[in-house]
Amino acid sequence: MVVVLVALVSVLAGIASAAAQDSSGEDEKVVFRVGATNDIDGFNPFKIVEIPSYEVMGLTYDLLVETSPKDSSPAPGLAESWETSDDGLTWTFHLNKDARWHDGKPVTSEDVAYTYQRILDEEQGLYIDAVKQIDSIETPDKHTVVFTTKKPSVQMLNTYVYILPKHIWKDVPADETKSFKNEPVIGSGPFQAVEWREGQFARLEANPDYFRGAPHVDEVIFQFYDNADTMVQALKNGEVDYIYNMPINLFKSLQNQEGIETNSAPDPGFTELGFNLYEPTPEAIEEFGAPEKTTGNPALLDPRVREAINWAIDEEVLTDKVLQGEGVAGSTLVPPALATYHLELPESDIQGFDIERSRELLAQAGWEDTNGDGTVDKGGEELQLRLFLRTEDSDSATQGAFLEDWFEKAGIGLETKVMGDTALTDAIYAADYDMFIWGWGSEADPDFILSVLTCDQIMGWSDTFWCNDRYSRMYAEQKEQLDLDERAATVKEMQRIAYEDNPYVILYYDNQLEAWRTDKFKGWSKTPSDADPGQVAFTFTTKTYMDLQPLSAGGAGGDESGGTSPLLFVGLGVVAIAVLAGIVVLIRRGSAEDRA
Amino acid sequence: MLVLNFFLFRILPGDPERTFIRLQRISPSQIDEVEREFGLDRPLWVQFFDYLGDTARGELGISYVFSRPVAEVIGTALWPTILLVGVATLAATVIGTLMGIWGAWRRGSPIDTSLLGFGLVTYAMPEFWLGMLLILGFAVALGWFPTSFMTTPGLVDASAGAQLVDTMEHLFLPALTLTLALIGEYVLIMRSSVMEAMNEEYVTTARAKGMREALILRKHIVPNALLPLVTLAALNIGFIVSGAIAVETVFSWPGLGLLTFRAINGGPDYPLLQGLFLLFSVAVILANLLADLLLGLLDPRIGRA
Repeated sequence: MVVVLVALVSVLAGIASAAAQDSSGEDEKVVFRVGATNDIDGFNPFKIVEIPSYEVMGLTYDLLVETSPKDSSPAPGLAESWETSDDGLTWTFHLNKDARWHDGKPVTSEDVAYTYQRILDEEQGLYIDAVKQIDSIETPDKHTVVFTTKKPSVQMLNTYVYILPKHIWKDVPADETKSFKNEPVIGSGPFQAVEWREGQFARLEANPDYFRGAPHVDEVIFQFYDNADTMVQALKNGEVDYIYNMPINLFKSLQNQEGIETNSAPDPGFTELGFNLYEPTPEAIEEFGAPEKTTGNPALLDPRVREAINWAIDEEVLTDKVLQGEGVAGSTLVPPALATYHLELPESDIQGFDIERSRELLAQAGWEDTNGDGTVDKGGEELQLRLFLRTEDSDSATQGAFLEDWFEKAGIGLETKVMGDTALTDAIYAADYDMFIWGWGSEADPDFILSVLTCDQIMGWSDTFWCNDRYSRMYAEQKEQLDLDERAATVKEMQRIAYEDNPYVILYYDNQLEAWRTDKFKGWSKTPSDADPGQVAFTFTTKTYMDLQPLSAGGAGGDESGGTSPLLFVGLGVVAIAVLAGIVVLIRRGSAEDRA
Repeated sequence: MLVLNFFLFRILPGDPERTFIRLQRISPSQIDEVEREFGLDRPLWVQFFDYLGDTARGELGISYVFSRPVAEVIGTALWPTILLVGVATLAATVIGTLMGIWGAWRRGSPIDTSLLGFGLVTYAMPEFWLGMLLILGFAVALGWFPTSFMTTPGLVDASAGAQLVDTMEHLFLPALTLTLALIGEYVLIMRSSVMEAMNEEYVTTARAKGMREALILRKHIVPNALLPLVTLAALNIGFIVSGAIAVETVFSWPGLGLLTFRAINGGPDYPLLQGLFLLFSVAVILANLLADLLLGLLDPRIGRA
């Protein structure tokens, strides 16, 4: 017992002295800490999926053409300048001559050509869609790359391909492209990812030799939280400097807190009510591997019923109550954040909130309340629909409550069920649902979000089985329209088709929510800064990371581990010693009594 | 057990192949590739016999979520859990036992009532919520402890001593939460066990011999009352490895509990879940064995039987 006691005391003493040392002699590194709720999935740009991974890769690698933090237009990346031939088939890029890889070797046109060629040769899933129009790649000199495309293409300035060093990747065989660990990461960006602890953090060190100037912070650390509540508390406690993507209630709790700034930015995404519009056909089963039967309510196949449902939903109220105002009422497929392409409907075309109108449309479709039970019926069958909501969405209960109320007034029977994403995904691919509420995120280019509703995406991205020939044909058309106005017109017409046929009722465009501490860094700015001010980070640009500067030089480092800890551990030690001493005394007394 | 382990997770909703693919832009040929890679295209019974064979050879497969061998993934998460749950179990056992004895000794008194109340309340409290409360109090309001992780992310240049302090600071709140969550059980069991022993005839005999009450407690009551506690503690050692899913998730503690949470969320990740539950089952069986052997040693009646 005495031995244990002595051992414990010495350990505690050791800790206390170590803690004292710790507070005095720490390196004052300037670390910018970013909190996220998703882990990254590695440093290999060919297998990343999670959003924070793109942030880490975007800081480590450069693109040929970046997007301008001002207005999201194409801006110089590794290429300082570029030109297009008149027919739109030849693209010439001139590289910045100062660019260097993290290991000191110069970045040349060889690297650029190699990266694109590898993606083409291996048909790499994450990037191939954006580059498959490329026919040939030439490198007339060390700093010039010339691409020839098969057809005029809008995507050459928007390929989002990280330029990789040929001298590293040429040794990675094709069948290992995805499994290659890529550690250490050699890129050319302002930071270099140096450490990843799965589910904990990813650490990036600044690249002092970056060709566009060194960042002002020494490190960026991405910290991953499985629980958004904890992440918010960590921000309040100063363990993290910036967090993004949190439930609205938590966001509201951070507003008007001292030392914390919040930002609710328009985000290119939306939340929609989707319908099961699947009608099994031999072609669909054969061609797409679609299920052989559907449990969807056939009433929904009538566009009038879907329009009736749209009239029975008040998008404004949902935005107000569910999002607590942090978003915009939903309408068309391309979110307003993509201002050039978003179709803003005139008031007269909006399927607003009007229960009478909804009942009329149902009556036109043959659904009327003939037996007076409050629910419309047709041929002796009541209109009864299932609505699946997501466990993962903290707002699903409120969404369901509003819809239940409105549907009841319109005479539509509704049964809501909350389920996990995986179960819902299963239900959708098995065509075993009537309606669901889920969301999509769009890229800066509308191509992806438009693709979701095309016929080709059945059993792919499609979650409604909607197939409109005209829409799908126009989707192919807009891909080749080089003229921005022409393309925008096509994209807007596509949105009109979708809006009128209602495969989705778009409920709202949710804002992206972020918060940061104002007492450690200055230089926060929103991207894009023009028109719609956007987010501070996770903008697919490096602006904030390059601009941030510590408020007080050198004083921003380790204030967490200093201060209270030695005192605290001494206190704990004292308590432990007291307890042990008490036990010893008891034992002594006990044995004394024994002897007595 | 292996049979259950295999089929249990196949009943889970979700199709790992689909979950993978929903997140990525991927072509139908790549879907097939994913299927082949993980053997998901073969009939269930073939997958089952593969699983039996692999397990017998000690191969637990490759995790879908982490793309690394399951044994390796579990290996990294094992020590953090043993540290966290070990410390918490130890603290809960010692403190809970003492509180139970004290309560039984003063039964009916305000001390007993408040100890019993404390035990019941902490026992019934959701760990998740308790963890959040402690974070609010100790981390946000007082600023004494960090909210999450096992170490401060990116603490690489610090001395070994500083890293140890850092780990202990991070350990404090999750360990406290888990201790509070476990302690009630010990208080309640120890209290009733002591009270039972107090009514035994040998206690009356000891009193009749004129022994001091404190001595009776220590020499006659407690040793006998400890027997059910040994069983409980040994069983809890079995659960040590299964970690504390709720606590580890709240505090982002990189242990087996958090790993289980991620394996279910991201897939489901069959190989990883199978590996984890194999480990949990083995641990519980071994702990049962240990409890039996220990009781045999401690209680001569069982040992001889």
